[in-house]
Amino acid sequence: MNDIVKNEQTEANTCTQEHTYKPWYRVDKKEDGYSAEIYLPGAAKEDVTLRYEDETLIIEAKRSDSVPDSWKQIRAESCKGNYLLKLRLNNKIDHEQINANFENGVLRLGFSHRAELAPKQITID
Amino acid sequence: MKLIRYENPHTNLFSNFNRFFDEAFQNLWQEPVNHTNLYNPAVDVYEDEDHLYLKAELPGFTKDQIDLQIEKSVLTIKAKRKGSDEEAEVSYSRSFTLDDSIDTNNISAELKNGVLTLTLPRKEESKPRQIEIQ
Repeated sequence: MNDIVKNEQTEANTCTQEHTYKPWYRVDKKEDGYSAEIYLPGAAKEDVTLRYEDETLIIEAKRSDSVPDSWKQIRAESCKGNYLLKLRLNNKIDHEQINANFENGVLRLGFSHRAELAPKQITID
Repeated sequence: MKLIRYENPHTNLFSNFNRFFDEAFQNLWQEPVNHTNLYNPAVDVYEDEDHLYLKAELPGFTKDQIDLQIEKSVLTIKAKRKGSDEEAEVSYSRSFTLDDSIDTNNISAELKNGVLTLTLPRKEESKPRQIEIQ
């Protein structure tokens, strides 16, 4: 697993948890940081919250795609409930500079390294 | 004649492999197994008196990247998009066999927040109806 994320949740991604469950996500390493895609189908942009506390980025999303009571379920594969993902950011990440974009049920995050960690050229006197 | 289990060629090898073991050991752990992942998204099916509803989770896909086809009585949902930089392509295909009660000419589809909802109306003649006693 990428060193940006140390997963704090030990629960498996199963449908047994009723209230919150861990969404699928992927993290890619970039030249100047990382990018992440978190898959939150059924959640609208306004129902996604991101907060950073204790070196951890907490992503919560509420699903807003409930069905009318008159619909009788005959096959269930999706997890019911809301999403919760905790990503622990390593200390190279500038947590003040996280870009977030939400489109079609996918949250895309961009993380960059702290500026003072950028490679520097040292000139010889 | 032999009955051979149909394997969708689009599902990846590991998902079938995992499924095999999950199914074998499912009873041991008495826990439902969630087979869905990025390449094998979840589909829920609902019904009411007049319709059948399919809800497929397709996060990241736009309307143009999803192809819905009906051939004879088989409904196929296909979706394809470019992945993020290092990932080549995300593609997905899943078929459902519809029974005769579905009016295949009047299926409607809606995509919202990465969830595709298909509404499949039942044919008039197959709806439950009251028969009056003369």
